[in-house]
Amino acid sequence: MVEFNAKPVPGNSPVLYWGPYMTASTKIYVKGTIGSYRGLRAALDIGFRIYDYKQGKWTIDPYKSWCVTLKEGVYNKTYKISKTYDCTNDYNEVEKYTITGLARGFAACIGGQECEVVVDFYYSQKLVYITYLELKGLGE
Amino acid sequence: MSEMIGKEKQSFLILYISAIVVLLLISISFLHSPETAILPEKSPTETVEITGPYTKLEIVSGFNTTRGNHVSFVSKKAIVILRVRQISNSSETYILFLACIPYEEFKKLLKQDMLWPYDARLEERLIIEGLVKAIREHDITLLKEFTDKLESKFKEFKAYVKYTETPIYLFTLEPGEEIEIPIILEAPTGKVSKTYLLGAFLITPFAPAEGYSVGGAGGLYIGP
Repeated sequence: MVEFNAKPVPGNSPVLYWGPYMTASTKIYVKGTIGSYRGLRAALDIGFRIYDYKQGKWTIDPYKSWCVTLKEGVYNKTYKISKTYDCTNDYNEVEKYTITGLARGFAACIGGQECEVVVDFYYSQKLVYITYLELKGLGE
Repeated sequence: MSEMIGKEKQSFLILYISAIVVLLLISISFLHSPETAILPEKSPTETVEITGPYTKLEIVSGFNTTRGNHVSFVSKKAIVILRVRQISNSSETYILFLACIPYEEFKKLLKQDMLWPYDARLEERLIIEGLVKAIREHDITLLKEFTDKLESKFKEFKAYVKYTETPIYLFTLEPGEEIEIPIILEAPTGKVSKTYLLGAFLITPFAPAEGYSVGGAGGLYIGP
């Protein structure tokens, strides 16, 4: 269960030592209504983030994240999000990888070019459930 | 005797009240239990699968690799190839876009819990939304507007897809199909003064039907 705006951090997620290929996967269950409210257009981002362990610390890798944006609507669905990466460029630099789930709601002004974004949104049931996170190398 | 009956009544009354209190407490705890308590272990709902493609960024020429994907220009023009292979069993349409940000700015954003270019508070995110809208609505004017915005983010060098000469490329892949997309980078002085992140990102503007998805396909840290 991931509450909105919860900040996932590396530590309790699957860890994979360097290999030439890697597949990241997560399954997220979304239930409830994403709706507009007082001129704000709401949306929900779900997905995963990958962190690289290099030079003794975890660093987020923007090139290995995947994000699905769900627009307004009524939801009772599970989303399985996966992506396979080539990691050969990371050789000699990244020692290991980890994955965290992502669930974040937001709202933007409808029709606004300069959308000031409010972190949180009108959401009737507020339920996002990350059922699993997986990180695997080739042949696993 | 009557005193004994009185004590029994008193004990029964205490027991009765205690039972009611316990029942009330249980009811309240159920009413306020977190949503996890009512969730099934396996959700019985429809599952939507979003399988991103296999991607690889390869340096062809014009860069000196210092470590990993940290590079520096060794000429005024560099070429990289983005390799994309469709893993999913269905065909998919992708928007490839190239984005750039100074590394120091990227780090500052991270400290504010904003991951470039995905965070909804960033202009790049508006560009992503704009590109999705332009492709979905076949709006060439809008596409040009957001392409220009992406181009304006490149300060010391420019990057473009060879086929379009812009940082945008639209393509569709069939299951198992693989393509190579040549990307050209040009630095007028043949070097940069600080480190930049160059990212190749993919958007699926039609999937899922209730939104879109965006993710990294590869990137470089381009330094002095």
